[in-house]
Amino acid sequence: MAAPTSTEPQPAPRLSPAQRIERLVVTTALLGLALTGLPQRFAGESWARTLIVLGGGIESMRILHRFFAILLIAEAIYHVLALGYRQFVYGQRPVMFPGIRDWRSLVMQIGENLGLKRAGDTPPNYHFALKLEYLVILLGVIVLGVTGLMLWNPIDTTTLLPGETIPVVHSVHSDHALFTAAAVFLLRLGIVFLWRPRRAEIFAESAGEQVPLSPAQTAARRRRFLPAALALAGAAVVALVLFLTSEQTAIDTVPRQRAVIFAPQVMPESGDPNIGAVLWETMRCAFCHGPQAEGGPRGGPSLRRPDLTFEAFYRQVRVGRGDMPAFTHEELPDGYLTHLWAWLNQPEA
Amino acid sequence: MMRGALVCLLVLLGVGFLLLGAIVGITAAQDEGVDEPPPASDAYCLLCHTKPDQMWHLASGESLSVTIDPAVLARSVHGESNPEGALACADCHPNFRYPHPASLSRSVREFQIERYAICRNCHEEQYTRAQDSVHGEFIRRGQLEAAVCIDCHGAHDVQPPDEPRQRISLTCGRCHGAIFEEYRGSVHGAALLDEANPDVPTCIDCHGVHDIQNPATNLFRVRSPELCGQCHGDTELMGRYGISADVFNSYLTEFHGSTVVLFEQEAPNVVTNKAVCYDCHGVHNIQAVDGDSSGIRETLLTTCRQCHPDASADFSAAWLGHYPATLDSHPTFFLLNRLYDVLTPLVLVLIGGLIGSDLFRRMRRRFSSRQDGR
Repeated sequence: MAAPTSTEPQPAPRLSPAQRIERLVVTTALLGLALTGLPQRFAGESWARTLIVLGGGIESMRILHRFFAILLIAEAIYHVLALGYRQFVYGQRPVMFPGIRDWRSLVMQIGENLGLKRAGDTPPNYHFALKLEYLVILLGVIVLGVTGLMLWNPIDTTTLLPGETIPVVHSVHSDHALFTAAAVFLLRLGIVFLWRPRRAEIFAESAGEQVPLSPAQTAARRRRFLPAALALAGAAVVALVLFLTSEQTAIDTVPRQRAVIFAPQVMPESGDPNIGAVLWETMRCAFCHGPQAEGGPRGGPSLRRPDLTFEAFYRQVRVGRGDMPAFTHEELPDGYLTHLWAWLNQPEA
Repeated sequence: MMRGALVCLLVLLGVGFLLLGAIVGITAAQDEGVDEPPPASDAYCLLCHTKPDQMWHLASGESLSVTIDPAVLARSVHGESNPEGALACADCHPNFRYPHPASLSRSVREFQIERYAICRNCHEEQYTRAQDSVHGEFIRRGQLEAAVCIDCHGAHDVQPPDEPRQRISLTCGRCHGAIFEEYRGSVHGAALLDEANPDVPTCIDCHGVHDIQNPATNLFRVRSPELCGQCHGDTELMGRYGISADVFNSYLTEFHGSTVVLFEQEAPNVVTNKAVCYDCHGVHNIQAVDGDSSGIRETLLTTCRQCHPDASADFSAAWLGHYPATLDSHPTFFLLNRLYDVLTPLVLVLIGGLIGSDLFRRMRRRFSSRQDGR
């Protein structure tokens, strides 16, 4: 971006077309990230669910979130190169970083607002608010970008770092996103409705710190910078693409749990007397043979006899005889007879 | 002559009335079913059905014992204890007299399927729900082994189905033997069957009673955390066993849980690959988390790799557990959380303060300029 070289009065400086496009991209990406990210953080809230439905569902929201993230990362790469270009080719220092003068200006302004200091004749100058917003966004892009990429590939991350890193970066990503969104929202509110910072003064700062260079020097610097910048940008894009496509974190379909649904004749590894006791009660055995199988008032014999074998017991249950009904496999599977037998072979309670 | 004609007319009228009366009477009698034999009394039925070894031989070659023990019948829920009075044989076997009407059933199972609809006469709600269940669906498809009323409740010896409580799972286990064996070895099954624990779930607590739905559907899958949460989100119930009720809430707030809940709310029939409770804890063979070497913590990486096959060796450490992080358990996580708890409100208060102070300055100015104007 060429700096004004004349000392004659200049028209109010405006953002270059490239800077305007950058502003549009950053605004779109930040809004998109906030709208697709914050509902995920507050997924339990009804407003969040409404937004998720509007976004086409949670998986769709996550795809959109990643799209805006890539947009912002691409913009960040471009911005770094553009800053480098202005610095290296034109000698313009980046002026959007808040300096000591800006912090002093902030403190002084608060003092004046509260009446602690006498207000000057000039209207208040809030252009430090723009710088503060830039700082919040810059910090957000760095923190959210790094943590977001780590979350994008959690397996790669835990190959290099401890597993606990994932919940930590997830928490930081979520908390810092909220911090960034809220801070930018409040600052924008002030900038748009109250403060109207004079961008011209920031441009003036930029022009004031510029090192004057001849056109030949500028052209020579440009010739050196552009190939290097293109190579760096290409490397960054390739690295990004490789990283983002390197991992398949999870399988697409969770494997079904396999189970044999209809299996009436499964034999247990061993009989369980506790189950046998319940079966004795529920299969009406006690009705004839007594509650402890000691023989019942209806003439059912005792089954706690040392001479009673499992084979005889089994045959009697299956075939039945006299008043003793036969029990089918459906009513009393073989496995259950094993439990009953285990109970019968326990000492009486 | 006139007199004779009058007598004839009167006779004809009389005969006509008699015929009309007879016709009306017969019709009325038919309407009232007078010609139908009265329902068979219990004594009439039991005349034959108490004889031992009474068998009915079916076309399939199977035999069905039709000997009834009146004492068993009497002590069933339909017997003497029935608050509405004991059911008679004819209540469930209407129009059965000797000789019995021919049955179209060729096998015992076909006969059971043919007969079970009689339960509907008194238990319409349960019957209808059972028709809507996965069992009813299989029966309609012709898979006759699916359960009908009598398979779970019995026929002549119907007992309270949940007394004792273990009876519930033992009933299901008669057909679902393999699953019952898994359940029996689980922390829930062992507590139920060995200790008669009244708090652990039986089959019906997760699967429902009569309207049992197919548990292999995605709908069941995405709703399953809610099912587990009914108990595991209950502070009082979990408190009895020293289990934190946070396990459910912590699931809802983490990545898998929040996604599954959103799917459940928005698109319950769409398949999601996010884990639900049973993907990590097992379905029927759920073990105590702090148990022996088969406990979930010891096998966590293997569990993770079911869905994350490339998971690195330390990947499972990304799961901090269901319990809230503390300074001792996860210091970095805990401290960063606290940092943002302070930092975010602080910065917002500062920016808000800047806005507020600016508004204050404007108001002050407006006020002073008004005073100057005066």
